[in-house]
Amino acid sequence: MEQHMINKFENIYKEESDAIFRFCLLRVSDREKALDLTQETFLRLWKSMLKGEEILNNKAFLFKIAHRLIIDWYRKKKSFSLESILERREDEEYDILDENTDTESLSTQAEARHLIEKINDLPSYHRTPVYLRYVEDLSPVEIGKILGISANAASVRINRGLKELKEQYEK
Amino acid sequence: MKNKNLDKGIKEIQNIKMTSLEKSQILENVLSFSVTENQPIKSPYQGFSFSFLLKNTRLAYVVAVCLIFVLSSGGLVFASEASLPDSILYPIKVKIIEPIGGVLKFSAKEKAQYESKLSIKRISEAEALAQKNKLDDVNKKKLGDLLLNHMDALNKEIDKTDDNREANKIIDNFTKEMNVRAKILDNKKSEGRKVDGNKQNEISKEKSKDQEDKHKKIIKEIRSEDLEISNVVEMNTEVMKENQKKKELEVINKEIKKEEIHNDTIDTKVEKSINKSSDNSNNERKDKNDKHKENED
Repeated sequence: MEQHMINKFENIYKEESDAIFRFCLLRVSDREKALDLTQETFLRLWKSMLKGEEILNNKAFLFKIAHRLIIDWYRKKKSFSLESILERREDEEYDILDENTDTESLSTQAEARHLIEKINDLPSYHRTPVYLRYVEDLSPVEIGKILGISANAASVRINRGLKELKEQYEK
Repeated sequence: MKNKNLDKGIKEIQNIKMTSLEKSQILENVLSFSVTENQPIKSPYQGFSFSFLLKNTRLAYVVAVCLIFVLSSGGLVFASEASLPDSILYPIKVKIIEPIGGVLKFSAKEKAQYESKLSIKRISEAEALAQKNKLDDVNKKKLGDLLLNHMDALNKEIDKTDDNREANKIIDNFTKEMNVRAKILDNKKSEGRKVDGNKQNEISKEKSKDQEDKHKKIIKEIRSEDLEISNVVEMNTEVMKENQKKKELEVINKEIKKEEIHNDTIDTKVEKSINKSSDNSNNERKDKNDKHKENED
């Protein structure tokens, strides 16, 4: 029984771990912190599975937990002084390198950095829906579940956010 | 061109992944967690905790239900206190609350006072109903039956009381109060009837004389019915007074008998003592006579 559960969890982990990591990295801009958040997200899933809770949509469940953990992290971060945050932001670069990174891929990641900056410049209520729709390829229904809004409201936010993103790209 | 850049950026972002080492480390960390590890350990010094019971058992629901019941019944009791015979809450007041109040009175004197209070209350309820013009046959019967019950109970309790002065006091107070109330009630009814009579006269002027006679007959019938409650009160008070008088007479007779017995015993004693004293004097005389005779000799 437990082995069956472990196998199930491993399958979910293989499929979704990179997406959750990306989602966290994009929001917190810190590789180590993103790894921590990813681990915490999967730990929560594992606890729920051990308790025997039924999860209908694993992907939506994981993104919802990650989204809430990121919000909690931002709330804790507010306790730092505003000056220190501003100082860090000037020098900060997205640490998205991994063991496979080489000189070729570095040049190709320029577009990704640019897009991440543009997505992060969007207002908070457009940022997450646009990212989840176009990068993670989630449906408006799933996005609505993650954000706690209706599918209709999610699709409205996606369209408006995409329009704004395109305008920023054209500038 | 611009959209191509967007698509390219999206694809590049999708290529951002964890390293295999990072992946395996996280998986290992997560799977090493078991439910039993994180469960709180029960303190050996922990005794009985009511708050723990409330949190972890169904006791909270039981307590909540009991509280709701108690609080709502308190409101019900309070609401029924001022209810009249035409109200839904009146049976709760008469059949539950007032008998409970009676059970809590322990001495016969207290019980008698309580019953007299209740019967006065019934009359005041009749007054209130008469004011509202709701004193119909059903309500009259209800109040009449209740009043009779209270009177019976009062009679029984007064019979049980040993203190005649207290019993007399209770009866006097009760009769005074009842007479006053009954008079007020009669006045109110007659006022009500006057108003009704005026209205009916107006109608009768418009209608024929036969109809007028019919109305008068009906009014007379109503008047005779209205006097029923005050008659019941008067009858009962008379019965109570007679009972009390009988009791007093019995007590007086007993006392007289006791005194007679006592007097008899005193008379016999006096006679005996007189006899004794006369015997003694006779003996003394005899002795004296004997002595005189001896001296003469």
